[in-house]
Amino acid sequence: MDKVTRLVQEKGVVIFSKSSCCLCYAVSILFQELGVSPTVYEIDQDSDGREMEKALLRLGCNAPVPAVFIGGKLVGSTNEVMSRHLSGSLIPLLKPYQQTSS
Amino acid sequence: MATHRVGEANLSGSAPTNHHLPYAVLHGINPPSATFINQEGSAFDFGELEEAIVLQGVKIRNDEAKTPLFTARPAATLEMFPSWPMRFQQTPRGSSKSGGGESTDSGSAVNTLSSRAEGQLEPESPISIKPTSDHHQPFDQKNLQFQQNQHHQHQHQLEMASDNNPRLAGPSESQPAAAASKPPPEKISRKGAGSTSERTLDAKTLRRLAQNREAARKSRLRKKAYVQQLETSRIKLTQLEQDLQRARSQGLFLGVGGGGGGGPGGIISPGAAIFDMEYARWLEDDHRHMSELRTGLQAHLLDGDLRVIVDGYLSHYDEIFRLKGIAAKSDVFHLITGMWTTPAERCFLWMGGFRPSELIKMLIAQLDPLTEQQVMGIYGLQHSSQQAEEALSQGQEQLQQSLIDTIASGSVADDMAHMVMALGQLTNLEGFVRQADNLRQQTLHQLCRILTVRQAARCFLVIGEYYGRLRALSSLWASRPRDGDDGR
Repeated sequence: MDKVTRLVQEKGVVIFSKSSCCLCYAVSILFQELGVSPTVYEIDQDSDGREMEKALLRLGCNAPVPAVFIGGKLVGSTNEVMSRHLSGSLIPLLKPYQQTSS
Repeated sequence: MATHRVGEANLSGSAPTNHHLPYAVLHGINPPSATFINQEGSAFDFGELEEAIVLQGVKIRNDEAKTPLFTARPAATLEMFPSWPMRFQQTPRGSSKSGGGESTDSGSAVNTLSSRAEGQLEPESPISIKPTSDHHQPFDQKNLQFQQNQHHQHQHQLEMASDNNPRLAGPSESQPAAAASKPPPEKISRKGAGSTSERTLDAKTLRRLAQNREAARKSRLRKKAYVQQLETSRIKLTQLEQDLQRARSQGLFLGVGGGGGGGPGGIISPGAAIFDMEYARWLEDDHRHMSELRTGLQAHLLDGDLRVIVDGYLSHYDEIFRLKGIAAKSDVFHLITGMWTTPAERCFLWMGGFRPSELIKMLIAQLDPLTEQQVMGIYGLQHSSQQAEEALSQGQEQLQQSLIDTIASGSVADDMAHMVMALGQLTNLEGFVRQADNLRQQTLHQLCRILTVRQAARCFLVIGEYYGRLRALSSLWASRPRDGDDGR
C-alpha cells in the first residue's frame, strides 16, 4: 500500500507539504488558528518524496502540495481549504480533531 | 510599392503616385535632383501635377521643359495652375476653341477661377510654396521637405480649391469617378494627344482634375496618418528596447516585465498592459451593472428578475478575478503592487486587491435591516475571512523572509545559483495573489447566499459606489490645489 494512503489513515489531519512551499505554510497556519495541530509531511525531505508526489497527483490534486487530508479523505489544496472555510464547511470537518474549541 | 528611383527620391504609397513617376520620367520632366518627390512629405500633390501637365500640353515636350517644370517663374506658374489662387493677375485663356461649346465654358470657368483667386488666402502656387519665405526660389530639395504646418495650410487650400472646382465643371458630362481612378498617365497622354496646341480647359477635364485632386488629397491624408502612427510606434519601440536593455544589465529581478517598476514613464509588460486595458473595460461594464442594479431596485422588480441582475453582477466579478489570474501568470508584480489601481485604492491594497474582511466590515453597517441569522452568518464570514487572510499574510511573510535570505546570502561564486533559487521563490507569489483573489471571490458569493435578493442587490450597489468614490478620491487628490512652497 502506498505511503500516502498509509499516512493519511494514521493521523486525523494530514498536510503534505514541501519545505520551500509557503502556501503550505499558510495552510498549516490556518489550521493552527482553528485549534488543530496537523501532521505535516515535507515530501521534499522524504526519501520516498517523488513517489509520494506522484501518488498525490494521481489522487487528483492539481498541485502535489499542499495536499490536505482530514479523516483519511482528501479535502484538496489551498484553494479548496480556504473556500471551504469561508463557506463554513471546514470547521465541521475539523471538529473531531480540534484541540481547543474555537 | 515603388520600384523606381529618380535621383534620390524614393516613392512609396498609393498607386497614383507610382503611375506618375514613370510618366514624369517619360516625358522628360526632370525635377532638380528629383527630390521634390519626397515620400515623407506627401506634400507633393499629384493632382496638381496632372493638371499642370495637361495644361502645359506641348510645352512640356519642348526645350523649355529642360528647366524644372516647377520652377516658380511667375509666367510658368501662372499657366500651370490657373485654378490656384494667384498673386498675379491671370490672363484669360478662353480664346482658342477646341470645338464645341465646351471651350466657352472652360473659358468662363477660367475667368471665374481667376476672380476667385483674389478671395483665397495663400497666394503661392502649391508646388513652389514651402518653408522658405522666398516665393521665387527654384524648386529644390529644401523647398520640398515635408513640414506639417505648411502641409496643413496647403491641405486647407487644396480643400478650398477642390471644393470650388467641381462646381466649375459646368453642365457638361464629366468623367465618372472611374475615370479618376484610372491610371492618370493614360488620361494625360490621351488628353495631351487630343489638344496638342490647346491650353483650354474643358469642363470634363476640370471635373476630372478636381476629382484627382480630391483623391490625391485623401491619399495624402491617409498616408500622413499612417506615417504618424509608424513614428509613434517607432518611438515607443525604441523606448521599450532601451528599458529592456537597462533592465537586463541591472539584473532580472529589477527589470523584466516592468512589473512593479511601471508607473509614470516606466515600462509596462505586455501582460500588464493587456490587463490594464481589460480592467478599464471592466470598469465601464461595472458602471453599466450598477445602473442596472439601481434601476432594478427602484423599479421594485420581482425577485426572480432581480436575481438575474444580481447573478450578472456576480459573474462580472468572476470575470475580473479570472482576468487577474491570467495577469498574475505573466506579471504578478503589476498586480501585487497595485499599479493597475488608483493611488487611494493602492493605499488599502492587500495582496493585490481589497481585503475581504474590511469590505464586510464596511457593508455590515449599510445592510440593515438583517435577520439575526443573517447577522450571525455575516459575522461568521468576516471571522473566517480574517483567519484565512491572516494565514495567507503569514505565508507571504515567510516567502519574503526566505527571499531576503536567498538574496542576502551567498558569495560571488554561487551568485547565479542564488538568483535562480530566488526566482523559484518568486513564482510562489502568483499563488498568493490567486488565493487572495479566491478569498475575495468566495466572500462575494457567500454574501449572496446569506442575503436576500434585494439585500444582495443593495450590497453590490454599496460596494460599487464605495470603490467608485475611492477612485474619485484619487482623482480629486491628484488635482487638488496646492499652496506654494510653504509646504502646507
